[in-house]
Parts: sequence; structure tokens; C-alpha cells
Amino acid sequence: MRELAPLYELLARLLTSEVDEDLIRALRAPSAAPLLERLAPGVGQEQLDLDELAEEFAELFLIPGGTPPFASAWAPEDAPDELAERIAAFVHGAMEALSVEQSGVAGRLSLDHAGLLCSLIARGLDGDARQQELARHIRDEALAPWAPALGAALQTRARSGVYRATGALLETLHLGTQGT
Amino acid sequence: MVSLDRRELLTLAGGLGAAAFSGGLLSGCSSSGDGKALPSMDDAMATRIDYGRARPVPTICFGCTTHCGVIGWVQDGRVRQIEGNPKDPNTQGAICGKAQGVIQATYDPQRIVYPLKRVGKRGEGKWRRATWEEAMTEIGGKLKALRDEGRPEELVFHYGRDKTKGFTSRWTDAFGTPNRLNRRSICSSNRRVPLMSMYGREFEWESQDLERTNYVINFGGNPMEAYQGGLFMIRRLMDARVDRGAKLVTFEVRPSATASISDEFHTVHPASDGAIAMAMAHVILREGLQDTAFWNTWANVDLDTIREQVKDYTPEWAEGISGVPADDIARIAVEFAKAAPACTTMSNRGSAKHYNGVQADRAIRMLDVLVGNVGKPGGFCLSTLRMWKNRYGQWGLPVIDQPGPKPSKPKAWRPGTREFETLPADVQERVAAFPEMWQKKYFGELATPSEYPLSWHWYNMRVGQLVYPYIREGRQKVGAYISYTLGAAFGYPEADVAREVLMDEELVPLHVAIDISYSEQAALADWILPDATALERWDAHSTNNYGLRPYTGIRQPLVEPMGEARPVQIILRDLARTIGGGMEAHFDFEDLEDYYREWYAQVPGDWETLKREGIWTDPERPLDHELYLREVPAEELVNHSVDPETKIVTADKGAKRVAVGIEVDGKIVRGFDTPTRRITVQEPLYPLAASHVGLPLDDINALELPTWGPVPEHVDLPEDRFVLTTFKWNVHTQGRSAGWKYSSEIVHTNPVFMNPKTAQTLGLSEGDEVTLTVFRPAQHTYRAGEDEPVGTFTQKVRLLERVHPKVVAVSHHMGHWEQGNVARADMDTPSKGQPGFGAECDADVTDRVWWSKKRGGSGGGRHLNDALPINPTPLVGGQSWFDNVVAIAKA
Repeated sequence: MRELAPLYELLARLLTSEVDEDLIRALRAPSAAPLLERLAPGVGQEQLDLDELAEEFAELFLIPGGTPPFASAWAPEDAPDELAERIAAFVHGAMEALSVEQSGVAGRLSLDHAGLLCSLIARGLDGDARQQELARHIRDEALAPWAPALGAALQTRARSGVYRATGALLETLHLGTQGT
Repeated sequence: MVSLDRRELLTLAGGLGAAAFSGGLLSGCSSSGDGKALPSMDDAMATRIDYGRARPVPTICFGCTTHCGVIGWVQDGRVRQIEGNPKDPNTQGAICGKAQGVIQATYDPQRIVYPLKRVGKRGEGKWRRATWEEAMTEIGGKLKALRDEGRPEELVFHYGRDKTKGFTSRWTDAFGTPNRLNRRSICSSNRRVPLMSMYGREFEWESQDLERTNYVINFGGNPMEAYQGGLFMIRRLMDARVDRGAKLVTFEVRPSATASISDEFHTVHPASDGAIAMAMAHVILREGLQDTAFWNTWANVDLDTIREQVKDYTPEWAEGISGVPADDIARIAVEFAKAAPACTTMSNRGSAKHYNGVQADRAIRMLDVLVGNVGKPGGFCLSTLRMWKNRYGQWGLPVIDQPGPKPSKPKAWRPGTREFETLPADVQERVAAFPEMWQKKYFGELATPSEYPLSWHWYNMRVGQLVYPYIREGRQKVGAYISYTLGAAFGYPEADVAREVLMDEELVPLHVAIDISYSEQAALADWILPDATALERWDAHSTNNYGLRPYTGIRQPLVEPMGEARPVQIILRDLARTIGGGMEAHFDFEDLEDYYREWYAQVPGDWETLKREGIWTDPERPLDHELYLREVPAEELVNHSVDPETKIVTADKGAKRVAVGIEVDGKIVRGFDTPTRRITVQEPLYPLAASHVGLPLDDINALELPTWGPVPEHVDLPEDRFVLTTFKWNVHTQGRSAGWKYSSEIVHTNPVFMNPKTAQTLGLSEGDEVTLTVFRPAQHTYRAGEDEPVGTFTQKVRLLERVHPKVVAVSHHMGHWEQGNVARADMDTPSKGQPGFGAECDADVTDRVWWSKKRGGSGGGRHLNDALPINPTPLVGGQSWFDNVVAIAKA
């Protein structure tokens, strides 16, 4: 699973910050572009306008009516009511275990934010065996129960291929290959 | 669904591996976690809150306007639970369900936590995230230009809920605009004016001694659900009823929660409270049950005058007006008077928010003066709202005030000033004829509407519901408009007018919303600046104490603001720094805790103790009984003299000669903070104001003595017309709470409550859909007399016994089209829709909102406020929320 760390880093980046030129370059690299095209057909041919992408980012992730990237918005109906709170408590412990400072950007994100979870997974996967184990727990227990729902909604709601690909990646990582 | 297999995912990861995603979230953090136990979801599942691990932090709730002392429990970086703070002398440790809503507001997944800049048309719903630096530079630059060009008054700062205790007024003063507008007229101005008129500016809110009372007559107040201070009151009242058998009698148009738990509940005709009170005064005097000594000492009018005034207001007459049997009115009046002085009246919006509401409250308040319960144990007591600067009769208290240099206040718009010349000719003419006492308080039509001088005679309560029509009519130019936690676009009467004006970039060239949520108001802004919630911020706190002992509390942050939200104090400080020109000197602080520590420097004990306790009070201090009898200290009696006729005592205060008290039985006591130092039962300001605004002098609002007269449009109400009254639910705070999941699970819709007999007459049954057509008022108010209905409202009927047969009751909280998915549920398009509203809810989120229509539920209710007329009461301007005349038809 360690090799998947860059994908989680990418998801964290996409879910917490607007797209910039560097990111576009990375996504259009020959080594990544064909597979992203599989996830979101047509993404490679899109004319990407950073201002429009910034507007879409706000629409999807920052204002109501979009696709809020929080567990509390997507927890499955059969999940206990407190799932988001338990995720938050778990993530708080995970940040301590990974000695991640709970300040700065990460510290002021909601603890059930998909971007934060992805970032922690990436960090854990890059660590030692214990940290990798923790990363798996975060993925399987804190993110996988609801990330596919967020991913599916993103694929439906997003206008741009970048965010449709984000949704597809979220979904495929946590449904299609769950437990890898 | 498109999926990649494992090999493809690894390929993609490998392809991305070399890319540096600039500045990861956790960059700069150490990742060496060796030796630490791994957490698990199972552990997190084991307990929601572990009191051994959680950290208690006292603070002040902001779930509604009551502001209770609470303790928040913080665990794993999140606030897990809110409990009452037993050290709060007002709440005595109690809280209500709304306190938990503050947690939900803080962690609402659809909360606004970054500055947003509009990128589409105003109201279109298109935004992009901006940095604070960009926001401050752009907004500050525009405000600076306004100020530098010598037009500071064109900045309007309009708030809905501001509990910064003077911080925002310092900011608007420093900027130079008088236009710091509020929503007093929407809420409570009609009930504050009679209090301030009778007892003085200090006593805009009463503090009945409910702990010691034996008898309470409640005229339409609803402390069980919605009364500001209701929690403080109801607990004491319930204790008094259980411990000593105190009696609660309620007059109401519908079975509110308070009415329902009362010993006696009389269903009354709307706007008849004053008639009942006048009849009770009649009975008390007829039976000789008045406290003549108290009246003669403290009322500003002789008893014979009042006897004459009430002689025709018999219980039989009042029965005809109110529907309450004359025998009951007389019996209750006698019981009340015989319980004196341990008896008190209680009233709030129910009696006051009518065309005749100011007079109604004057009549109600007169009952207390008649039986001499004012300030007495168990009686109608007065305790100042706050303890800053040794308020009236409460010397010996620490001074609590903002540190740093105070800016000067904007200058009045007197005839001849540049600002005066910008006013319409008719306004100039009216203001030029005002007496000096009003000319020196006049600051233009938005801040001090000249048709409503009693809205700003005592202090500036404004007439908020007229702000938007006035802007539309061009009565005053707006260069920039800041909404601070304001919900006018949803919650004001004729809210569509607010939206129309806010959508118009010529009328409002810049609209900045400082808010927590994406409200209907914020949705119409050019910028949204995210405010911190009550759990993330500092505020000074003090309010009147029903425990009758002054106190203060501190709101302190339990957690850091989410995302990039900032406390409003920081937002305004940084704007002041951007604007410059000396403005920044009034906000010379870096750290908010340091700032508030300085505010509280004079409070006994150290700062850390205050933070630990959350509350300071002096438990040894005498209770605030009979403040008016407290002797004036010698140091205030500099060169004092006693007027031989009025007994008013005046003394030197600096260069001024001021009234400091009154001589009673040879002692110089404080008296009341009124021109006569007595209770102003006879108020000459009403006819004076009427004469200046063209209100006929025989209108009930123009009369000096308490009286009763009908609401003009209720006279001879046809059989097919009814009175629509609105109300607040116990788990909601007007529009602000609609996004609180648990509150909305409990109450999420707003049926038309109707008496079963009324329904039968109209051929209606439970669940039938009806359309209410709302008409404009009859006279002496905004657009009065126009035939065209204001609007319509369609909703299902809910039958409820004991609603007055001529009344239908609807909550005005519901029917949001913004504020997030929980608030919107499956709402319908507002009756007067605007671009950008009414988008489909997200299916996944909505599916968890079980009351959504998609799931067969009732939906999120329907928006009522567009259909309610802007209807300010003459002279005072309080919105007459409960006078609406409607026709009812099956939809």
C-alpha cells in the first residue's frame, strides 16, 4: 500500500487547495495523464482556466450546496450518529501518534475533512511499519466508509474533469481496491 | 463507476510520485511517532466524552440572546459537550437545548470558514476563496476611499447580533459613520420604550424578582420558549410555584408553552392586553387596593387623574374587547393587588408588538406602580443591564470598559451641516423644526429616522425594517454596506425588499457580510468574511440578573477558529489598520486575550481565576431591591440644591449641573433616572413626538396617559378575515438555528395553527393546505391603506385547541433557501424568488434529513416573511408583527 502515498497526497492537495499551474503540469505528465483520462474521460483535452477552477473549488468544497468534504455530510445512513465525531477523535489520536502538530493549516481543518485524512494516510504510508499500519486504519475505518459517496457525488456534480477525476479516484481507491 | 485496478493505481501513483504537490498540509510537521500507542476507531467509539481526559472551559453561550454561562468540554481538540455553569448567578447552572446548537454551528460541514469573493453576478452564488490579505486590501481600500473623500457616513454597518459590548460601535465611531444599525425594532423596541419612559434609560429591561414572588400576571410573554432571559426567569418562577405556591396567570392568543404550564391561561383577542390591564387598574382603584403612599411618592401624576383615566375601562368593557370574562379580570386584579408587593407583571413581544403595543405595555407597567411592587422583594424589580462604569444606584462595582483611546462620536446632522444638506427636503423641514434635544441626536434617516423620534430619544434603537425601503427611495446614499450576523434578507418583514436592495449594485455598491454561515444575507454579498463562533472567540459579557446582583462573565475560546475564520474583533482591527488615517490607533492590540485582560483589569481577583470560573460576582453585595431608595453618596452632592417644589436634587458634575436624586422624607435618594426622578406614568413625549411627525394627537400612540385603543385594521374585522400572529419555537433562534441538525430534527416546519372551530367554519380539516393572503395595515404606518395584498403564504393546517378563533399562528423561522442542506431540507421556492436561490439539495445529504419531502416528510417549512408587511408602530417604530390581517382560502 505504501506505493499509493502519492495518490493520497494528490487527493489531499485537490480537496484542500485550488488547482495551480504546478498541479496541472503534474496531472498532465505522460506518466499520469492516460490513467486520469480513464477516471474522467476528456480531462486531458479540457482547456483549464484557473479562475474557473477556483470558482468550482469554492462551489464544491466551501459553500453549501456543493460536495462538502467532511464525514459528517456523507456518513452512511446505517452508520451510528456519532461517526463523524468518532472519526474526529480517532484522527486527533492519529495526529498525536504521527507527531503531527495540530496547528497551522491542518490544525484548523475539521478533523473529519477528507483532505486531512488523505494527508495523514500519505504521511503514514511514507513512515515506518507502525505508521503504515495506522495509515491503513485511517483509510479503512475513517475514510472508506464515506469517501465513495463523496466521490460519486463529485463525479456527478463537478463540471471540470479535474474534480470528476478527483471523485473517481476517491471512489476507486475506497471501493474498487479497498483493502489493498 | 470508472475504476482502476491495483496495477493501474500503482502506475498512476508512480507517475505522480516525482511531482511535488507544493506545500502539503502537514509540511513542517515532524513525523517521528516512535513509541506512541496507536489510536483506534474502537477506542474512539468507546466513549464520546471521557471526563477524565476532557478539559472544561467556562464561557458564555451564544445560542440565542439570553447568553447563559456554560462550560464546554474539550476533548481531542473538539468541543464535545456543553453544560451549564453553576457559578452563573442568572442561570444557576441551567441551560436549554439551543446551547448544543453552538457546537453544531462550529462543526457544521457547510459553515463558511474562508474569505470568499464573489465572481459572478451578485446573488448568483459564484465565489472564489480569497486570502485575508486580499480581502483586507480590497475592502479596506474601498472604505478608505469613502473616508478619505469625506463621506464616512455612507458606510452602513448593520448587525443582527452584536455582543461585542461596544467594540463595533468604537469601530464605526472611529470610521466616522453614525450608521451602525441594529434590529431593535424587529425585536423589542416597543417594550423597551415604555420601560425607559417610565423608569429611565438605565432600565430598558426589567428583572422581576421571581424567586420571591407570589403572583405573576403574564401578558403574552413566553419565557418557556423564547423570551430574552427566559431561562433565567422560568427556573425561578417554577421554583416559586413549587416551593411557595406562587400563581402564574397568562393571557395569550395561543397555547404557548408558558401558557400551557400556567395556573390560569386565558385565550385573548390579539392586541387586547392593554385593555385587560386598564380594566385591572380600574378594579384595583375601585376596590381601594392601590398602594397610595407609593403612588404619591413615586408617580409623576396624581392618583385622581389616573382614577379618571381608567373610570370607563371596566372589566365588562374589557371582556368585550378581550373575550376574557369580566369576573375573571376583576378577580385576578384583586388577587394580584392582595399579593403585593410580592407580585409582578410580565410581558414582552406578545403585548408590545402591535399598533397599540406601546400603550399596552404602559398600562401593564402601571399596574405595578399602582400596587407599589416596584423594586420590592417578589415584585417588579429593575437591575441595570450591565455593570460597566458603576451604573445607576449600583456604586462600588468595578469599571469594565474597552482599553485604549476612545474615538470621538460622529457629529449630529444639524441644519447647515453638509450631511443635513444631503437629506430630502421634507426631512430637512421636519428636522429643522425638532426641539434642540432631538436635533443634537439626529444622524440621518437610517440611524435616526425622523418619523420615529422615540426610536432614538433614549438611545438609538433605529427602525431596521425601514432601512431598505429608505435606501430604495433614495432617502440616504449608501457607499458601502457591512452586514454583521444579519438575516434581514430572510427574516425581516417584506424580506424581498431587503433582497431587492441588496441585489442592486447602484444602491449598494459594496456589500460585505461578516457571518458564520452562508445565510440568505451573505449570499447577496460581494465578500463574505468568516466570523468565529461563540466557541472560538473572546467577548465581554454582562446582562441584567434576575438574581438581582450585578455580575460579569467572559466568553473565551475553547478551540481555535475552524479554517481561516477570525473573530470579528480581529477582522475589524485589520480593516482599521488598512484604512489608517488614525483609525488604527483605537485598535492597538495584537492578542485578543491581552485585550480582554485589560478590559477586566479592575475586576477583583486575577485574570486566570476569571477564566477558570467564567463569572465574577460579589455574593455579599446587597440585592438590587429598591435601588431608587439608595442614598446618593456625598461625593456626588457637590454644591447640591433641592428644588423646593419638585424635590429634585441637582449638583455639579464637572462643568455641568445635573440631577442626581430626589429628596424623600428628608433623605436624598437616587429616585429614578427620569426628568422628574419619579416614575413617568404621564409622558409628555408622546404628544410632542406626534406633533412633529404629523400623527393626529388623538391617535392612541400620541396620548400622555396609559390608554387602550384598537389596532385600526382589527376594528370591525369581517367574518372572513383573521389575525395572523407569528411565534418562535423553543429550540430555534429565528433564522440562525435552521442549520443546527438536532434543532431542526425537533422542529422543521411551520404549519398554520388554527382553532378546530375556525377550521370547521371554513370547511377545513387537519392537513388541508390553505393560502393566507396578507393585507397591508390601515393607517399611520409604511404603505398603510394600500389595497394590494403584501403577499401570500401557503401551508398545511394544524388544528390546535385554545388558539383564539380569530387567530392563525405561524412560526416565521422556516423555509430557508440558503444556510445549508439541513436548513433547506426540501424547501420550496420562496414566494418572491431571486436568481441563485432554490437549488436542488444534494441527494446524499438530504437523504439524512428524514423530514425532507423526498423522504415523505414535511420539508423544511415555507418562508413567511416576504408576505408580512413592514409595519412600524408610530413614533417608536417597533415592528407590529402580530397585527397582520389575512384572508384564508383552501389552496
